[in-house]
Amino acid sequence: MSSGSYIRSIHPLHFLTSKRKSATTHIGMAILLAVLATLSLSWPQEALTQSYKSNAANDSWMRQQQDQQRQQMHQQQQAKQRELIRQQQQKFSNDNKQKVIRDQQQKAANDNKQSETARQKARSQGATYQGTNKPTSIVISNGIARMARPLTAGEIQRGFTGKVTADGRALIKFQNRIFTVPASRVSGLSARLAADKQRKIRWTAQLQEGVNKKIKAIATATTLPATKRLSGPKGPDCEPKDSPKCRESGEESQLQDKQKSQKSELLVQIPYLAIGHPTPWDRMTKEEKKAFQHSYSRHGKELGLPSWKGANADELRQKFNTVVKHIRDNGKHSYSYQLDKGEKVKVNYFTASMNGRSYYYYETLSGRFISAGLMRD
Amino acid sequence: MSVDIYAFCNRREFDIVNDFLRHFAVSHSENQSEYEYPWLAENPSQIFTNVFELMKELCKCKIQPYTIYWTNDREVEPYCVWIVFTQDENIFFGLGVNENNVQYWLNRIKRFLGTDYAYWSLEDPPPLIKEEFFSRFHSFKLSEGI
Repeated sequence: MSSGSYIRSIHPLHFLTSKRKSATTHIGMAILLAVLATLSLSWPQEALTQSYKSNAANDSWMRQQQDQQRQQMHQQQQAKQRELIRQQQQKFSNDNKQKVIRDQQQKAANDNKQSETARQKARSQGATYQGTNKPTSIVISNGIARMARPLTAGEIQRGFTGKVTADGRALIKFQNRIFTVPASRVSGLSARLAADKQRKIRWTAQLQEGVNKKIKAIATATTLPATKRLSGPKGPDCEPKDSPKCRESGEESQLQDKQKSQKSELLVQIPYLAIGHPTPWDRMTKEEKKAFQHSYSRHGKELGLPSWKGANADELRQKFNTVVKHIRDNGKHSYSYQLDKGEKVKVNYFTASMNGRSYYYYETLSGRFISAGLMRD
Repeated sequence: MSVDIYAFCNRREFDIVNDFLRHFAVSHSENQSEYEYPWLAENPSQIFTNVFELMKELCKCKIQPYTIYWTNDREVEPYCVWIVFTQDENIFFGLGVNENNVQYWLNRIKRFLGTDYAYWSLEDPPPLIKEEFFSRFHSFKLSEGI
């Protein structure tokens, strides 16, 4: 097919070619066709150019996206690698630590063995083992100190605090910390504990009975009622040491027997029977005189006793003792806690009623007189 | 139960002694009619029959120890008051009160003397020197937490 027929068949202005056949028309048509052709051909090129440009931009964006993806993947891989390295390092570090601890423990055990061997050797040679500088061997776990190795006999001996727990463990001070070890590991302690136990058993079984008998014997000489003692020929006061004098009368002995059975239980608990102020005035120390004058001046009047006079001090002492003894002998016994010389101590406490009034008597558990007087609410 | 209160005063002067008696020994009478001087001497050099004369002497001769007691004629607190003239020129004032009211009287004597140095204890012979007082005072302070 020629280009002319092609133009006629497909171009929309082909009728012009069929109706006008003149040269001018042909030239004009040719120009027109050329222009149209130029126009019709130039349009797809621009579109292609634009499309090409658009495609290029798309390619660039895609490349950027791909680059970004690649970078991300690369970063992720790097992070994974780093994490793996870190885990490996940590594992290695833990292994290393455990190994170090194991090594230390092994070393400590070896040291112990060596020192024990050296000590045995020294013992066999009759020399004194001086020991060596040992590593700390204290492991702190959760804030609690533990020994990584057992304490040596020397450390136990040197650090023994002298105290033993109820469950039979000895307290050992080592490097400013207290550890417990079985008491059997402290040289001689087991024997000492056994001896103490034995001594206690012996005391309870044998001596206590003898002491009780002695106490009862003394008590019977001093537990007569105050009225009886006042009317007796030997005066109001009777020292425990003078007890034979107090046993002269048969009537008194009968009374003593009766009272002995009543008081024995109580008196066993109070071995020291120095009631009131037992030392005679002229044999008192200045401190004792001061204490007696204080007791007498504080309570003499309420106990119905005469005014203080230094010249009659011993007579007043005897009267005072008689009255307070009466309170104690006739009083109801109980225990109390009181502040004595700045310390809270358990004391024997007696309360007695006389002439419708209540009186008290305090003494330490060892029998030292503290106070006696009128109870006021 | 009666307890002892002790308070420290470092001015051994008759005026303070007199003031103390006016405050705390309102209805009290002396516990003794004769006072041997020196205190607790086997052979006293002097016998005082007037307690104020004795106290004046003790405020002059400041190293002479002596303890003087007054008992209440009525059954009200303080049941007994006493003044301790120490051998180191100080005075301790003492009150015998019921243990239930001890804090009230402790505060009252502290206010009167303007001091914090006061303590109470179960019946206890008085201290005769400052060191002994403060030893007991510190024990008391420690035991307050018990």
